[in-house]
Amino acid sequence: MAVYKDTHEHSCDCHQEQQVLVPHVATIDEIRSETGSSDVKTFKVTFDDPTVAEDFRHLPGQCGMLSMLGIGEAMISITSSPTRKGFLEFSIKEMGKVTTALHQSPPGTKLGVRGPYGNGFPIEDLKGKNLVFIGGGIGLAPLRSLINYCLDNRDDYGDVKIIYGARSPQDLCFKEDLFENWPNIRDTEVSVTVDKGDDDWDGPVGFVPPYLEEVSPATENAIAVTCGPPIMIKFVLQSLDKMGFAPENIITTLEMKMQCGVGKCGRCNIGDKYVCVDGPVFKVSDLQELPDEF
Amino acid sequence: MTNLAANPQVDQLRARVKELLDEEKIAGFIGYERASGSNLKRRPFFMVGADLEPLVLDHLCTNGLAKYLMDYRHGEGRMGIAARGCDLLAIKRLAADHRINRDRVVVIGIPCQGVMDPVKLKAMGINDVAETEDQGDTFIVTASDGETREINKGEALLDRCLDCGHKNPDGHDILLGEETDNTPFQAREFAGVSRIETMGVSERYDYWKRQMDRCLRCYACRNVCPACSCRECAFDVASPEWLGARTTLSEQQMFHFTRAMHVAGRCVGCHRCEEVCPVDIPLMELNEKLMKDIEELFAIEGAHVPRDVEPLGQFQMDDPDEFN
Amino acid sequence: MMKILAREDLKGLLQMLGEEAQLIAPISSDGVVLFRPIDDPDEVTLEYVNTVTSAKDFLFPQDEDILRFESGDDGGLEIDGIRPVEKRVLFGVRPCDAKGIDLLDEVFLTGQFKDDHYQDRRDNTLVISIACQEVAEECFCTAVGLNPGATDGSDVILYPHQGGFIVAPVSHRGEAAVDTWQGLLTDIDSETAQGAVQAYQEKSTPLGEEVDFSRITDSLATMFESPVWEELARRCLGCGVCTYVCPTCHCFGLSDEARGSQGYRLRCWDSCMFSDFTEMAGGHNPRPTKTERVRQRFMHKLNYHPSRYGQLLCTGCGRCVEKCPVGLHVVDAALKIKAAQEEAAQAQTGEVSG
Repeated sequence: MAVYKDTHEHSCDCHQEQQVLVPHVATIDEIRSETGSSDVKTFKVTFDDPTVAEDFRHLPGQCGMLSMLGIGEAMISITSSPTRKGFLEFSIKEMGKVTTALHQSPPGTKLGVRGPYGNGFPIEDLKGKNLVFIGGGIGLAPLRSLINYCLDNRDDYGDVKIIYGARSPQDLCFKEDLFENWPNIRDTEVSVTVDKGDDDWDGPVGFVPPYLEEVSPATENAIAVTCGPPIMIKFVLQSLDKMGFAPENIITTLEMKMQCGVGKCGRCNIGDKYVCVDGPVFKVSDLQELPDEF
Repeated sequence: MTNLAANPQVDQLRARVKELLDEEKIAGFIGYERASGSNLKRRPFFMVGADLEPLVLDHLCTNGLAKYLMDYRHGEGRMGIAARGCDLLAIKRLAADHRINRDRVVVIGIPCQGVMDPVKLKAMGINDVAETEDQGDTFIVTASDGETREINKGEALLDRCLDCGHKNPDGHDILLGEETDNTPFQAREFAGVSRIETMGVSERYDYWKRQMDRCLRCYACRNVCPACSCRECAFDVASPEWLGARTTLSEQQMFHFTRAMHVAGRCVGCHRCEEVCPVDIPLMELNEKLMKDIEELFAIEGAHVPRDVEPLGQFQMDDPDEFN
Repeated sequence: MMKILAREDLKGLLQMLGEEAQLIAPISSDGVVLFRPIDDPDEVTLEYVNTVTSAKDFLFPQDEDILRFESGDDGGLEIDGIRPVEKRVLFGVRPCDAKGIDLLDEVFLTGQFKDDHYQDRRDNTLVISIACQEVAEECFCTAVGLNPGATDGSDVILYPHQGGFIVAPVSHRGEAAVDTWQGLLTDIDSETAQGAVQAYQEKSTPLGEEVDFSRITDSLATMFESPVWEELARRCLGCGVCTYVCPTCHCFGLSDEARGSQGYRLRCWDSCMFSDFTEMAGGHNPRPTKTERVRQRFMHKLNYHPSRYGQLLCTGCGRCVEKCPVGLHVVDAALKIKAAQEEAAQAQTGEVSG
C-alpha cells in the first residue's frame, strides 16, 4: 500500500478551486441580540461572491468555520434552515477571542466563512416521525435549523413538540420563533420554561428535564433531538430513558475544540470519531460506543 | 580519591524506603527504574502500591526527579524521594519558590562522585549496562551477559558532574551511606561561556542562529526545569500572544532568551535542560553566562545555590541605576 | 537489468538534482544530523543511521503560511490562499521516514476533504530514500510490518552496495527521474542486485525482536479505562519531543498573525501532549491531566488511527525511544499493554477455573 503512488500520482491540473483551509469572504448583514444581556447574538451573513452563495448547500445541523482574520476561527453551527436561501445565520455566545471579536463587530463587517462541515441531522430517517425537540439556552441554535427545515417541509414530518428552557426570561433565544412563528404552525406545540422567572413572566418555572417529564411527549413513532449545556443533556437523557425513549431514537450534538474542521488536525476526536466529520450529530446509541472522553 | 564506602547500594535504599513506608512516614516514593527499549537508560520510578522491586540506583540514574514533587503536593501523606546533590538544589529551589512544601517531602540523600552520560557511553560502543561501580578514577560497567569494562571517569561523566561542588546531598532528611569528599573534579570556570565571549559579534550571532535553527519548540527544556514552575507559562498564554507559533529565528530567540532571563538568578545548574534537548542545543551556555554575570556584578559565589535572599530577588535604594 | 550508481558519481547526481529543484538532504549541524535545504552537495553527510528529526517537516512544515489577508480602508477584505510551488528533491530518507510520508499521504490526501497545501508540496517533491546498512539500538521497524529496505512512500530507493548504490525506481515519477540519471549509472546483473536488495528487506532490528505489535489494536479496544495509562503518565513531562520527532504525528493548529490591516494565517505543529491541546474557550478540557493525554497518544497511534485507516500510526523509527527524556515511548507502551492484557487474561482464567 503506497497511497501517493497508487492513487494520486498524476500530473494534471485538477486541483480543487478553493483551498480546503481558505475561507470565502462574507459580510455581516444584520445582527440581532437574542438575550437581554446580548451575550448571545444572531449574525445574518451573506457571501460576497454570488457564485459561492449560490453553490453553498448545507444540511440542518452542519456548521461553518467563521474567521475573524487576524484573530482566529470558530466553528459555529448554522442556525438557519437550508430551506431559507440567500443567507446564513449563526447564533454566537461570547466566549473567547474570536466570538468576542464577532460580538464587537458592527453590521457591514467582513469575515471569512468556510464549510459546511459536519454530518448534519439525519433528515431522511426523521421523515414520517413525530419529533420532540428539547433545547436549553443557546442549544436551541442547532435545533432551530432542523425545526425550520421540518416545518418548511411540514407534510414530511409528524407531530412536532418543542420543549425549551433558559436560565431566565432574559436568556431565552429566538423569542419570535418560540412565541409567534412556531405555535402558529399546524400540529406544532411549543413549551417554554425558565429556571427562574421574573415579574413579567407568567409561564412555567423549572429546569428543562423535569419540565420535559411534565410535558410528557409520547414515545410512539417519536425521535427526540436534544441540544444544550452538558449538565442539561445529562439529565434530559435520564428523563428520556425513564419515559421510554430508546437510545437509537435520541439524537444529540457534541462539542469539542476544533481547528481544521475537516478531520485532519487530530484535535476533536472522541475515540476514532472526529466530531468535525463524523459528528457533531450523534445518536445516543452511537455515543454509548464511544469512550467516555467529552 | 573518593570514599568508596560512601557508594550507596540499591538494597540499602530499598531497605530505608521500606522502613519509611512501614513507619508510615511516607505515602509514596520517587526514585529510578530501568528503562525499556534500552539497556543503557534509566527512567523515573513512582512507587505504585508498595512494590519496590523495580527500584534501582546506579551511575546511569540521571533523570531530574525533584519537579515531580509538584505533582504530589496536594496528596495525602508525605512523598519520599531519592536525591543527589543536584536534585537537592532543585528541591530547595522549588521550596524557595513556594512550589512545594519542604515539610511534606522526605529526602533520602545520596552522596555522589559523578554519574555517566549514556550518549558518551554509546560513542564508546557501550549499549548495555546492567550494573555500575565507582572505582574512584574509573567506572566499572557490567553488561547483562556479565561482561565488564572499565572506563575512565573523565571520558564518561555527564558534563554537569565535571565541576560539581555538591557531591554531598546537602539538606537531606536521611543520608544513604556516608558523606563523601566534596572536591570538584574540575574548577568551576564556565569554559563554554568564555569561549563564546571571545567570539566577535557576528560569529556569536551565527553560533546562536545555528543552535536556534535546530530548536523544535518542544518545551522539554522548560518542562524539566525546576526553576520553571509558573502556573501559567507566558509562552502558553493565548491572548495576548507573547510568543508566536512560528519557528523563525526571532520567535526561537524570544523563547530561549526570555526563558534564560526568567530563570536568571534561580537556575540551579542541574543541566537537565541541556540533557533533555532532542537537538543538542547547549542551553547551559546561556544560563551559565547569566550565572557568571550575576556572580561578577553582585560579588557572590555560586549563583546557582538557592539562598534566603536572592541577588535578583531584592533591591536596595542605592543600587546602581544606569538607565536613568 | 538493474542499475548502480558509483559512490564517486553521487556528487554529480546531487548537483544535477539541485539544478532542477531545491535539494534537501542531511547535513551535520554541530554534530546533529538533520535535513536541510542545501546549495552545495559537499554539505551532504551520509554518516548517519537516521536523522535526528524526520523528513516530515518538508511535506508538513512546522509552520507554513496558508493564506494572507488584507483589510481595506473601505471595510473590504481580501483573502488569498498561498500555494507552495517550489520543486524539491528530498534525498537520504530512510524507509521508516518514507513510510511516514505514506501515512501522512493517507491522512491528508484521502477522506472527504483533500488537503491541497499538503498536496501541492507532495506533488512537487521527489523522495529518494536510502536503505539502511546499519540499524540502531532503538530501531524496531520490523515489528510494525516494515524493513530496512521497504519502499512505501519513496519515489526512488537506493540500496548501498559495494561502495555504490543500487538504484531502484518505485513510482512512475521515480522512473521518469531515474531515466534522466542514465549517464551516471552502470549496469549490474539482476541476480546480484536482487540478492542485495533482499538482504536489506530481510534485515532484522534488535528492538523489533523484543516487542510485538501484531495484536495491539484489538487489545486496546477494551483498555480505555485501564490503570496502565495513569502509571505511564506519571513520568511524562508534557513536552512535545515524541510528537515532534515522530515521522507520523500530524496534529496541527491554525494561528493568525496580523500587523495593522494585513496578516497571515499559518498552520503549525501542535501536540496532543500539551496541556491546552483540547482546552475549549470557556475553560472546559476533556483531557485535563497527563493520564488522559498519554492515553490519547497511544490509543490514537495504535487503535484509533488503525480503526480509520487500517494501519498503525508508527513506523518503528525509534526516535521516541531514543529522545523521550523519561523513557515513555511507544515500545514501552506496547510492552505495558501486552503485560496488562496477559494479566487480565490470567485473572479471567483464574476466575473461570478457580
